[in-house]
Order: sequence, then structure tokens, then C-alpha cells
Amino acid sequence: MSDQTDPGEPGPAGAGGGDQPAGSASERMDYLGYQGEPADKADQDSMSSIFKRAKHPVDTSGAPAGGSGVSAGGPDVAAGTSDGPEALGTPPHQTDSSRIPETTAMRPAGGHGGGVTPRPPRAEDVDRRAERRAERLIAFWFMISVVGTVGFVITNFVGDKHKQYYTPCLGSALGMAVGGLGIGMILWAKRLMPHEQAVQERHEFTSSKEEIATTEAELTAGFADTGLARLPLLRRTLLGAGTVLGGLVVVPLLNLTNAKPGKKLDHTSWVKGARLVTEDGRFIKLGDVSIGGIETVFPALPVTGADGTVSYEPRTDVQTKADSTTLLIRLPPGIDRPRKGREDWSIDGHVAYSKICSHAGCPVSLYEQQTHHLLCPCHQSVFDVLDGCRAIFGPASRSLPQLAIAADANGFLYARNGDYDEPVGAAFWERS
Amino acid sequence: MTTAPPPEFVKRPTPVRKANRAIDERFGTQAGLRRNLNKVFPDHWSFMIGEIALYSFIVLLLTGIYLTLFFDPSNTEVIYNGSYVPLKGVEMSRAYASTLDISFDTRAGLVFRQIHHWAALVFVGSIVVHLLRVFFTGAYRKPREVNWLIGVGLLVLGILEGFAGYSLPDDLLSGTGLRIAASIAQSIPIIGTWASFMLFNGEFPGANFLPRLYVIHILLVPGILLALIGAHMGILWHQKHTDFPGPGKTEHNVVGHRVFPIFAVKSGGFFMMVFAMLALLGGLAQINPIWMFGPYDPSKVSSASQPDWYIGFLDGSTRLMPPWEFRGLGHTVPAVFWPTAVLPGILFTLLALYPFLEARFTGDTKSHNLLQRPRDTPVRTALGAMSISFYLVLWISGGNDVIAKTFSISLNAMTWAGRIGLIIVPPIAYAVTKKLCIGLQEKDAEIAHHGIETGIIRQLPSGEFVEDHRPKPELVPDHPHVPTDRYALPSANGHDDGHGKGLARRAGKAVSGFFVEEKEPGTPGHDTPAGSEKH
Repeated sequence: MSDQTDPGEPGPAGAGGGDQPAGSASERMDYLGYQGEPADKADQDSMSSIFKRAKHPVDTSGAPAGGSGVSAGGPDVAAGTSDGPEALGTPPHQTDSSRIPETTAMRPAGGHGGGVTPRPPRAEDVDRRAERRAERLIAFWFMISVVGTVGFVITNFVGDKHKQYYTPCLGSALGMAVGGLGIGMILWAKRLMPHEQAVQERHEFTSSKEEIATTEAELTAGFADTGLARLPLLRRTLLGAGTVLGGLVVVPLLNLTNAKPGKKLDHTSWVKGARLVTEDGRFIKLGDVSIGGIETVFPALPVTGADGTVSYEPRTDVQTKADSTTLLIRLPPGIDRPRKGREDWSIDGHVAYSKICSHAGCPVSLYEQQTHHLLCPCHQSVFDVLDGCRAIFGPASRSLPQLAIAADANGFLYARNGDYDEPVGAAFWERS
Repeated sequence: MTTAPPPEFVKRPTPVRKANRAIDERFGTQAGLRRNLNKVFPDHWSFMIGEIALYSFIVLLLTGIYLTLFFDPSNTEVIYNGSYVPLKGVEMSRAYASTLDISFDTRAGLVFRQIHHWAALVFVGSIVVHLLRVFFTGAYRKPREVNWLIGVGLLVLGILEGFAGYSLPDDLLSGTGLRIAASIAQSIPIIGTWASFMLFNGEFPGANFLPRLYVIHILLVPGILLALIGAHMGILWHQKHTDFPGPGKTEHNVVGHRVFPIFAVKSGGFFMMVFAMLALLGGLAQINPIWMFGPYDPSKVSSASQPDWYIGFLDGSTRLMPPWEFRGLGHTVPAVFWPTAVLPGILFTLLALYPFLEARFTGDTKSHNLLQRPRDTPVRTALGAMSISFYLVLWISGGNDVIAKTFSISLNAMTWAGRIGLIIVPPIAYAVTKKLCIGLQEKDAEIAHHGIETGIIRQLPSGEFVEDHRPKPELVPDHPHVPTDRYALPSANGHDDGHGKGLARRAGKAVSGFFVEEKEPGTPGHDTPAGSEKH
């Protein structure tokens, strides 16, 4: 191609051949100079339309089949634009080895090409022994990798997986195995491969005006062919059907749960007469909790047997714990300030509050005996036990719900009014 | 130059050439292959951060596949009878039991589990650092806004994926996180209760929720991540990488290494290095020791429960939020809704829209391929610093209980400091950064006009002291601002490269070799074959 010939530019082979091993970059550069010509056959670039093929008259490489093979479809508008060379957004830099688009121009190391700052040659470029040294160093790292791999395999199969050393050895060996390869590869690229300052032109992404116009015209014509503009009934029913079909998305979404919310969030497992039971199945009696003490309790539901006797069935499964977990706190006598109407919700200084934080549902588990404050470890909400577990600091805005308790004739504590009188845990839209 | 003739067609092809020709006969690959292998990628250390994210994702896939072979995402309660003695006989879900088995009774199980967890932290972390690099250098500008949007999507999905992942073992810590997630879902006005019930299949903790979370974690989100990463890389490949301005670099070219062989080998090496780092972390640095937390129990929580780092800012915003709960008209909008659903929504929307907002306000509709230095765009840099400080206040507040305990500060004081800091720190960061940028610009301008201070004081015959200035370097026509870090400043040791002596000198040179790609030749001309090229 004639426009590649730049008489003022010596071939890169002359510039780079001096300090590079034969058969490396210098030869490839010539090859690169050639590479742009028949670039259209497999060109998947967005610009590789019929226009581009038309603008690249395949002149020397003798591959016209490539130009015509793919161009089926679409009107033949190429004829009008086939004259003249490719007009790219910017003319290539004059020092490029080629003006063919997608051509990488090579700048040999140490040269002063095109304003690209050159690098001084490395020892490996000029000294055969230095090159050998670098080669040995890289080989050493590759061998480290082999040692690591072998170490990994041995540790994996021979090592005792219950021993302390097992995991650290595996990690270190794997680190050696891949790290040795990695260090070796980076050294290889940095020390032994020719330094290059390849320059590649960028393309403007904007298509030419005629291409845009043609595409738009084709799309418009195609849209007109569908008849959607002419036939309103077709258009409206299609839109309607599409919308209805899209609405079908709701169905699988709703199928995600068989349990409708309903009033589930309003209730816990507590029922009237349910005993307070600890996690290990011990029913709480008066006196079990010392003054200042705290106990996490769950409901033990009363079950009336066939013979009329009542037994209590502790409920400590995950589902129950998630909303029914309750804190039983025994306050020193006389300091509790019960809310109005809740004066008889406590017994002998024992108060029971939901352990599920009214902010985000974490268990409120830190109790400060001196101040009688409860702290939620998740977001640091603080509740004042003496004041009906009012939220006094942090993001929680509601008191912890209180459970009314009483003691039966045997001293066992039980829920005297049944469930909490408000939903426990985090709030939600339907909560009033 | 003269065009070399095409290389000779090899008559007796080697097996590799044979394979190449066989593929070409079927797909016509040669021109495209050559074009892609010759694609030039610019060289700068900061361009590697995104690569770290990509490589840690690959490590996540590899280790994740291994873990799926042993993990059982089942809510079914079993009695543990593995080799971890403290938990023997404890009732737990099969998910937790199988995670314990992976950790104690599976060959290479713990190391791969820990690599997987570390890789997740590094994945999100490198995405964030990569995002900062892209932001502060203006790499997101036209024509790359779509890749910015994809990147924001990758960040959000990466956070979600990480959260889903560390929630799977069903230990006490992860269960607590899920409980908060359920409360957040529940807090959304109107649809919240339904959203939570649909997600968890009923009231928390739901029925058979873990298999669902497992599908999200190993199929749904990774699938989308993989597709988006593919699109991200494809667009990058198509649009070509941005580059910093420099000698010979213009808006219309890329200077660097071709994909084959140097870039490919280097990148392969970087992948191996990232993998090696993660392997060392996974082997030597314990992470998420779930056996110490115990199985999930909604009535228990460990103090100082901390999520993985990328969730920390949401934890912090939740802690700082005042107890403002809207109640009225028979409905409630919980306080937890604002800091965990609205705030990240606003933050990520602003992040996604930033390129378009900037283009709108600056009126810049041109395409850009050359990067900017942060100091050259003071407002953007200041906005970035402002956002970072906002994020950091939230993030630090996410661990305010730990800080309060460690340094014996009142927790309430920490919370108030966070609340006030969230309002006053970002504007200060904005003002200081902007001033700093303008100051640096002025210094650049001064160097451009007067040259570089050498620190050499000379006494003139008249007795006057003057400081020598190195003459300002020639301006490169492509870009008026030559980055000062490429100036070779005079050094005291006579080597002229700013490094010390002996071993320290060699180490310094080795390290700087990773960061400084181009240096002015020490003595111009000595390495140039005479007359080989003209300027």
C-alpha cells in the first residue's frame, strides 16, 4: 500500500536490531506493518459495516471475497461512499509505522520515537550473561512454585487435618505455588521480554453521518413495515398483552412465601398461663433469680392432658425464640416505676420485658446492674428498666414491650395476661 | 518506512499452527486474533487495582466451587458430632454443622473457606479503591459513563453477594445480621412486611430460608456479576483504556504494551500474585472463626458483633440515626428505614449519576481518553474527599462500641461525635481539599514559570545569596501539564535517581520499578543508536 511508505522513516528493524536478540520484536514489527491490510474479513468492530469495507478498497492483498462475503442484507448504499480513503477522526501520528487503523506502531527501546519517553536499555538487553542471570532467577521462582505445589499436595494428603499446622502449611504452600509462578512471570515480562512502547491509534466512536442516516432510515423503514404506526388496534393490544404478561412477574414473587403476613407480627407464642422457662427447661420460681439478677426466659405452654392434669411444654425452638424471648429481671424492691395500668404486671420486683430490641430485632443482652440500663449490642440503643424499659439513647424509639407476670400457688412465674399487648421487635408499616 | 513482505506461509505446520489453521478455516479468526493480540494497554500501577478485583473474583469462583461441594445449605436441625469438641452434642442447623465440617474435617476445607472470605473482602475493597481511582482521575467521563454505571452495579452486587455469603453458615454472627436485614426489609413503607415475608418465606427466621439464600449467593448474584464483569471488560476492550497524559500520549492514541506477549504474561503474573496473597491470608490469618460464635440463636448475641467491613457504613448510619420513628394514621415508618434503605439508595444513586451530573454542570460533552490529575479538578476532588469523609464517619461509627471500649470513651460521646461529625466533617474536607488542590496547582504553575528549586544556594560575588532553579522542562505539546513526578530531581548521592546506597539502594530501585514506568534517560543519547530515528 502506497500510503505506508514513508521515506523519511527508517525501518524499525534498523533501529531496534542492535540491542535485541534476533527474531524478537524487530521481525514482528515488520509483520505488524503488514497486518492491517486484509483486516476486514473478521472485523467485528462496531465500525465494520458495509461502509468500512467500502472505504477499504482491497487493493493489494487479493482478498476481495472478504469484502463481499458478509454484506448480505440491507440496501446497497455503499456505492456512493466507496471513493476516497478512510477518514478517521484524527490522522495518525506521523511517526507511526503504518497508517492502517488497528495497527500497532512499534517504538523500539532506546529510540526517540514520536515523543514517547524511551527507556535506557537493561543489562539483559546488552549483556548475554545478565540475560542468563535473569533467566536463572526466573527459573528459580518457577521451581519455588513446583516446591509449593508439591508441599501443598503432601500437606493435603499426608498432613493431619486436625493439627494446628495443617491450614497454615496449606496456605503457605499454595501461596508459594501460585506466588512463585507469579513472581517468575512478572520478572520474565520485565527483564527478558523486549521493552516496547507500542503506540496504537484510538478510534472515534461516532459513526459517520451517512452511516447514521442510513441506519436510521433502515430502522424507520423496518418499523413502518411492522405496521405498528398504522394499525392502532395491533399496537394497543400488543402493549396491553405485554403489560399483562409483565404483571405476571408478581405471581412467582408471591409464591415465594406460603405464609401471608396477616397478623403474625403482632403475636408471639406467649399465652395466658404460660410458665417462664429457661433454655435448659427449668421453670422459674420466685426466689430463683437473686436481686439484681437477670434471666432469659421462654414460654412453656400449658397443655391439659386427658386426665385433666396440666403439664407445661417448653418452647425453645428457633421460631419461638425469634419473637418470644423475654428478659426476667429482679429489681431491688421499691425502685421500679411501673407505668399506669401496669402496677400489677410485676411480682416481688420481678419484671419481664421482651428481649427483642424494638429497633432492629437484636437480642438486648447487656444489663448494667448499677444503672438498671439495658444495652443492645447491635446498635447501642439503651433502655431504662426502671422506667418501663423506655428507650433513652440510640436509634430505638420505642420501649421494650412488657409481659405481665404473676406467681401461682407453687411460686412458679407465669404470664398472667397472655401475650404482649403490642408487637415485639422491629416496627413495620402495618403497626399502628 | 518500507513495508516488509508478508511472512512466508509455512508449508509444514507445527501442531500449534495446524490448530490455528483448523480454527481459522471454521471461524476466520486470523485478522481479529491479530488485532486483539496487538491491542495496546497502557502501563500504570493504578490500572492494576481493577485487575485485583477481577482476579479476586476468579479466586472467589474457584474456592467457591470447592466449598459448594461440601456445604449443605439446610435449615434442618441436627446434633453436631464432628471433631470440634466444644460444640459436640449441640443442636444446630445442617448449614452450620457442614461449615464446621468444612473447617475441621474436610481436607483443605478451612484454608479454602478462609481464602474465599478474604477474597470477598479484597474483592469489594479493590472495587472501592478502583472506583476512587476512576473517580479522581476523571476516567468515567464520556465515552465511559456506561462502564461507570456497570461498575456501580458491580459494587452494589458485590456488597450484596458478600453479605449473602457470610450469612450462609448460620452462625450467631450471621444470624444476627440476617435478623437486622429482616427488620430493614420490614421497615419499607407499604410493602415492607410482604417483602420480608417473601424473602424469608414467613416470619423471621422463616422456613427453609438458607436454601433460598444459597441460590442467591451461588447462582443469581454471581451470574449477574459474571455477566456485568464480562460487559465491563468488553466495553473496556472496545473503548480502549484511558491513560495519563505524558510524553507522546494524546487523546487519540494508546501507548503501552501489546496484549501479546508482555501484557498477557504480566497480567497472568498479577493474577498469580493476587492468588498467592489471598492464599497466604487464608492460610495464616484467621477470619470468621464461626466455631467460636456458636450456632444461631435468636435469643443470643455476642457483644461487639461486627459485620464485614463493607457493611460497616450501614451499621454506622444505623447507630447514628436519631430515634425518629414516624407513627400516625395507623402506620409506622421505623427509624431503621432511613439509614439502611433510604441513605444507601441516595448514596448509590448519586454515585451512579455523578458522570452525568458533572457533564451537566461543567457543560463538558466531549469525549476524553486522557486522565486528569486530581489537583487539576479541584471541585471534583473536593467532592470526592467530602464523600470519603462522610463514608468514613459512618464506617468508624459502625465500630463505635469497639472504639469506645478500647479507648475507654463513653459510648454516648462516640455516638454524638459521629452524629455531629457526619454534618461538619464533610464540608471541612471539601474546603481543605479544594484549597490543597489549588495550592498544588499554583506550585505547578510556579515550577512551569520559574523552574524547579534545587536547594543549592549560591553566593554571588556581590555577596547576595540566590537559589539555583533547574530550568523548567520542555512542555510536551500534547498536554501542557507534565506531571511533576516524572521530573528527575537532582539527588545527593550522585546516582541521580533518588535512591540511597548499597542494599537500600537496590531495594529502593526494585520497589520503585513497580511504580515508575518511565524515566528520563540519565544521559540523553548514550543509549540511542546514532541517527536511527529523527524526532
